[in-house]
Amino acid sequence: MNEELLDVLVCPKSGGKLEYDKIKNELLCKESGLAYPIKDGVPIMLIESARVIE
Amino acid sequence: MDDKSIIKSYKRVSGFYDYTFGQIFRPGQKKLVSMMECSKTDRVLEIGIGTGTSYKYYPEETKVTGIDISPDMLKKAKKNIIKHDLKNKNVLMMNGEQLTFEDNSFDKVVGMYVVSVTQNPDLLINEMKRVCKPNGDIYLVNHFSFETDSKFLKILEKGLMPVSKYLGWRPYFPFSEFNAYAKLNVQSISKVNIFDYWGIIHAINSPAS
Repeated sequence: MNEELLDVLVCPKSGGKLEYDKIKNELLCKESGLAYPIKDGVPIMLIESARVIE
Repeated sequence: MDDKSIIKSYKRVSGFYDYTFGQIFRPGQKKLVSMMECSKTDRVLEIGIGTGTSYKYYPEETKVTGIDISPDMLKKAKKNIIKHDLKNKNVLMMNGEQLTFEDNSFDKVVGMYVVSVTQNPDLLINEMKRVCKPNGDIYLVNHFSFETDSKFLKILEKGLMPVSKYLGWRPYFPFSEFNAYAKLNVQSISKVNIFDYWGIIHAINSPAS
C-alpha cells in the first residue's frame, strides 16, 4: 500500500484516517469500525463492500 | 443509469473495450494528458480510469491515482500497472460522487468520460472541486452539446444514440445546462476524437468570474 496515497485517503463513512493492515490486507477505520478490502491489489472504497470490525 | 447497470454494462465490454471503444477515446486521452503539462511533483486524480489506458501518456514520475466503479475494468488496469512496472500509478474502486480523499489532495483532477455516465453530475463536480487544490486544474473529457455545434454534429449526436445507450451515456447534454450548476471557471474548450464529438474542458479550481 502506497504511503502517500494512504496519507490522503479517508473512510467514506466517517471521513477519518485509514490504517493499512498488512496481515489481513485491509484498510481500517477505527472511527467507523469498518475495514475496506483490497482485492487483486485494488482497494475497494465502498461502504457496502466493507467489513464490520468485531 | 444506476451504478449497478454501469458496472454490468462495463463488465460486458471490459474484455474487448481496449480494442473497440478504447480506440475511439484514445486520441482524447493523449491530447488531454499533453495539455495537462504534468510536472514530476504533480499529484493527479483521474476519475473513470477504466483499464488504465491513459497511464502511458503521463510522465513516469507523476503520481496518478485512478478510480473507477467497474471491478472488471480495474482488474485489467492493475494488471497493466504491474506488467509495465508503473510505480507512481495507482487504482482504487470508488464512486466519483463520493470521493474518499481529504480536501485539497490533488493538483489536477480529471473526469474522463464520466460526467455523462454518472447519476448525479452535480455531486461529481462538487467532489472534484473539493479534492482539487485551490487554483488547481480541473479537466473534463466528455460529450457536451453546444449551441454552436455544426448541423453534422447534431445529426451525429442522434446517430450515436444507440451506442450511447449501450454504454449508458446521456446522448444529449448541453454544456450550458451542466455549467449552470457546475459553475466552472472555464479556461478553454477543445474538441477531440472522431468527428470532434467529444470535448476537453479545462477549468481552474476557483470561483467563476
